[in-house]
Amino acid sequence: MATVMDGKVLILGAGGPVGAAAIDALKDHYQLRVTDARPMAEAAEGPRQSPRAPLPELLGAPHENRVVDVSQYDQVLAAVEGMDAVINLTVLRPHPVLAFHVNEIGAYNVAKACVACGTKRLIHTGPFHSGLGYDSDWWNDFRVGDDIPIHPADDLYALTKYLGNDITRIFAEEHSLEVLTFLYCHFRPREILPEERGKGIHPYASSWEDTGEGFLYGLRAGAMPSPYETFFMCSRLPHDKYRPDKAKRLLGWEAKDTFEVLFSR
Amino acid sequence: MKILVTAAESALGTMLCQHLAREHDVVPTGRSETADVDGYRCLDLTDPEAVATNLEGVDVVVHAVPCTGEQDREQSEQELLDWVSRSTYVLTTAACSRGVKRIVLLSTLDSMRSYDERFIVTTDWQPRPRASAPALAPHMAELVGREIARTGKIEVIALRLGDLGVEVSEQEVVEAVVNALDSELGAQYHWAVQHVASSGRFVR
Repeated sequence: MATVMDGKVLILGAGGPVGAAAIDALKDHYQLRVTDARPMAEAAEGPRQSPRAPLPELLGAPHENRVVDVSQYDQVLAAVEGMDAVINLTVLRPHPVLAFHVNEIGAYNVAKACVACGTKRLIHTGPFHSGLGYDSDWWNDFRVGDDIPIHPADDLYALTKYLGNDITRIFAEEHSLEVLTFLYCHFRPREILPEERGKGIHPYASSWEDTGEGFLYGLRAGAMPSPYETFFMCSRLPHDKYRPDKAKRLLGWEAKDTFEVLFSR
Repeated sequence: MKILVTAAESALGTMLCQHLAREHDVVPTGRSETADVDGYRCLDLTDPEAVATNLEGVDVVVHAVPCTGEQDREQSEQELLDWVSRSTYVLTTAACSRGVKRIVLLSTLDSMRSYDERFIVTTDWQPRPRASAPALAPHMAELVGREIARTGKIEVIALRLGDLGVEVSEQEVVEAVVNALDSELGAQYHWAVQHVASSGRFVR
């Protein structure tokens, strides 16, 4: 069983707000190797990705901070060595070259390094693009479940992450590496400001705080039914467009935030 | 028909250019500075502007990079994977913007070989490439082509070629490519896959 109840966990791409949430949720339970393409001290200083997005806490011993370029296999391998689990939060959206290097080649390097090092569990992450503006996306559907195939269209960010997902799946299935892929769409803070009441919410949304806690559940969950499992990591909302059923069933995780005041009169 | 061929400097690309040039206006392109092909142009497929310029007036692209993109000595496995994936993305998106009608994407049957040898493996079966860059590269190219084709902006037909001289002859590859230039894809689909083999377990 690949359950990781304690030990050492590597976080790649920890400089963003999801990394900040993951650090906050995991720092008291694991010895973390926190990495990003830029120094974590720099990431901790900001600026924020959006006005209310969290910044990562700069951790001291016994944790470790390190610069890792995920497109460089040697750096990834050195970072993965000695880790019980790996969380890959790396992402690059608009750049026509680096999007491939980070989202596709980075995923290849991480999966390969995990196999080489015998890592117990890899939590891979990526976007669920609920709408890409064409007829084959899922925007007009309801009751969409975790295992539905992603349709990235020609969107650079969506497509390169999609390729990275499939590479990770292929490594998982060939080498019995246990991979949990967490999919996200819209993030927001847990705190609801008075002026936000009744303004509505994206139907695939999660708070930063719930997002961070999801990693703790991901590491501690029991054996998965197959080497590669995909999860919708979002709040259960009455819109009933997206159903995060699998996360509750297999991880025991359910978002605490339901954001009712955002869509109530 | 004006046809742009990629990887024209490869043995397969050169052979296809020679055959297609008998009836079509062929634009042979490749990464090498020069190649022994009439009208050859050196073209960096990861340069969107250069690709768009070379697609001017092109009706169909025969994209041979995915099945010829073998790792050379100076290229890391990551560079190979990046090259095949990214060049396919740049080429396909540029082709959409230039109004190219179709891409014939040449892939390989290697992604289907891990199934039990007793099985007759058709295009209805999920590709199962090995977890290595050379095996993943043609599969990634197929995914790029399929997902962009889903937008309806272009038609992409993937030909998974069997081993030349073993499962398929050169003549059969040429015939498959010629047929794919303007064959019907079926219904309203913009994506299709064909296995190109005359013997073995990949044909019904």
